[in-house]
Amino acid sequence: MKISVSGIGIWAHGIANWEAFQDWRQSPDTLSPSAEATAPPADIIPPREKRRVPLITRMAIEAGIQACRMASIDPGEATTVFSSCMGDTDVTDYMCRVLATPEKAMSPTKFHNSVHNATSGYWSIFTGGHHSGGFVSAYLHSFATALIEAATLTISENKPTLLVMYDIANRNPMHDACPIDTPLAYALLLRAAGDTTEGRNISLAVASGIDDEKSAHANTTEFHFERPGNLNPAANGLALLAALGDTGSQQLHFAAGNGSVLDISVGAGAVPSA
Amino acid sequence: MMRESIAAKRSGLDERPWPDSNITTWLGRVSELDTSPAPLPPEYDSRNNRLARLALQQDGFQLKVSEAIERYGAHRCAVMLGTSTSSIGRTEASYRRLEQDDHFNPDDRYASLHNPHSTGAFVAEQLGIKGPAVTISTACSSSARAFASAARWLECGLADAVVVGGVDTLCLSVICGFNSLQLTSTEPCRPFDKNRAGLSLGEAGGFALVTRERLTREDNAVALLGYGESLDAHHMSSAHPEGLGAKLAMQAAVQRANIAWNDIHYLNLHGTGTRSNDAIEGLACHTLLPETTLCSSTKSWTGHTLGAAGITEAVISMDALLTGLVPGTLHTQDPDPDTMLNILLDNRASNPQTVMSNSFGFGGNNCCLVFGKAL
Repeated sequence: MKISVSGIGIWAHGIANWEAFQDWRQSPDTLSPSAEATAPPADIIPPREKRRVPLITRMAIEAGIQACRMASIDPGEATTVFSSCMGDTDVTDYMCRVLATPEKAMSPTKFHNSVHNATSGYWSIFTGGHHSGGFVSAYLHSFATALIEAATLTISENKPTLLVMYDIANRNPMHDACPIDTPLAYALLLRAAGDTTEGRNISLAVASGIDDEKSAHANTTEFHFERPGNLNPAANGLALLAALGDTGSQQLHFAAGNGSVLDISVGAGAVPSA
Repeated sequence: MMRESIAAKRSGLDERPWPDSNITTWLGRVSELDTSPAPLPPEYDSRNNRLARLALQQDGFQLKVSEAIERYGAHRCAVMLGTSTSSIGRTEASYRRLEQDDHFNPDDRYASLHNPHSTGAFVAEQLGIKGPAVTISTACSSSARAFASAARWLECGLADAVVVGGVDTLCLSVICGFNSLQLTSTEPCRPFDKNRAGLSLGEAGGFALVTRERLTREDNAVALLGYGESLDAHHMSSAHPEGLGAKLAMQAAVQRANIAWNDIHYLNLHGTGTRSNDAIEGLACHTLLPETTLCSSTKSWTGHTLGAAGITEAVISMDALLTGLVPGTLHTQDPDPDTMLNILLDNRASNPQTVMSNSFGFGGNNCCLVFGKAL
């Protein structure tokens, strides 16, 4: 499948946008969980709504807006695919603690925020977008499968598709099940493959018959968030952002689950920019 | 057994309260999960995954999947699993026995129990599928959207067979949550009734094997003719007042199916029985469909099975094509004239050729599917 990437967005503590990400790549050891915790701007959210919108949603919206602006596309015009490995563990934590009390007095707002497509819902409300909005997840293979899903939408619908990948830090007890220490959100605006002046062409294929051992080591990351104190499984996909930040062609491989592998050929071309 | 229950007009809702909940409500409970609690391996043991296992065992489905794996190769088969609860019932239980300093009990530390993909991963493993497995979680449209995504993956050549499924189970999260939104009724739901007072929750597991292959009626096959997906862009838990998103999804489905509105013999409504959904869905459908279209909601049989509603009602709709029997709307006595729809109250043997199913979820997420008889 051939598609092109014409917009990129990213947000993490210490990495406010695509330019900051490219700077960080030069010295990745400088990122630490003690990097000043800032709030994602997400300026399309009206001030009176910001209080109600969970952090996970604000991060995803921030990354998505950056990608749409870089691609010069009205955010409401994009078909969307949102993805997360663990979902909003803040609201899961809230709900499970409340339900462990005798009163079980649940906030209705938090309950409707607990659906995994809540972020997609908020995105559509703030952008006015009516096109299909999905949420997909495949735990550690989320990025690969979400990218495949977004690519199929781009090709089938022949419309720009926004992919947003995100995970927030987990506190106890969820940290015991999946240690995530720092939040991360990033987004790609995809279009059908075309003239490289409009975006960077990439080609996807799902490889079959890979034995489990090989595919388990298939994620190509020469740098990543995944070191003690800095873990975030959503960071898998940063390898693609890194490749897009270089001008040469590259081959990447992502484990896509159950022994399958997503092979990505990144074509040579200009680094996407605003 | 589903066919028998529909033909006999026997609802699956009962009023036994859910453990640890004092909320008065009728629930569509899968009793086998309580009477035969055979455990699963600890990293997968949840009510949701037990229901997935139970559903996979029905109707010779696993055999069909094995045949597809044999024919196409395990790596050319994929899984698309719609769910809103996933294994959250197990997460709830884990929080009830936290250890000092807010740690999970060692038996509860499996990420595979607490992430949205719990059931999707379990299903792929149970079936021996080696292509990608994806969880789709868009609230009440989840397992309807799974059909749409499967169609695209097949069209793009990523797989030759997709196991499309939906599994959601009852748990305190949904029972207390819907109650906090004042959407549940204290009586069995009565969709589109003038006196409807809310929804009844249910749980369900269902699966369909979708391929590109042209099958015939003898194969017990039906065809997915079209799908439409949209967003309301209005509110997180209330639908767009004019049903804008619902209309967009239905229009896209009809366009993709390349049919006329009056080709649709039967519409399985989302029809939750809330005052709001039924009013808005009625308005949207009335605008688009001729009065001759038979419309019913089958949530009075099953309850609102949330993430599994899409697959449950798709299967009911597809079965209407095979049996010729269109289900009515149980419990409803006085159709609300304000909804402007011709609601079918009683079952009717009308031999439909083309059917439509609506699924609308929180976040204004809408999906519409159109199925037709294989020729």
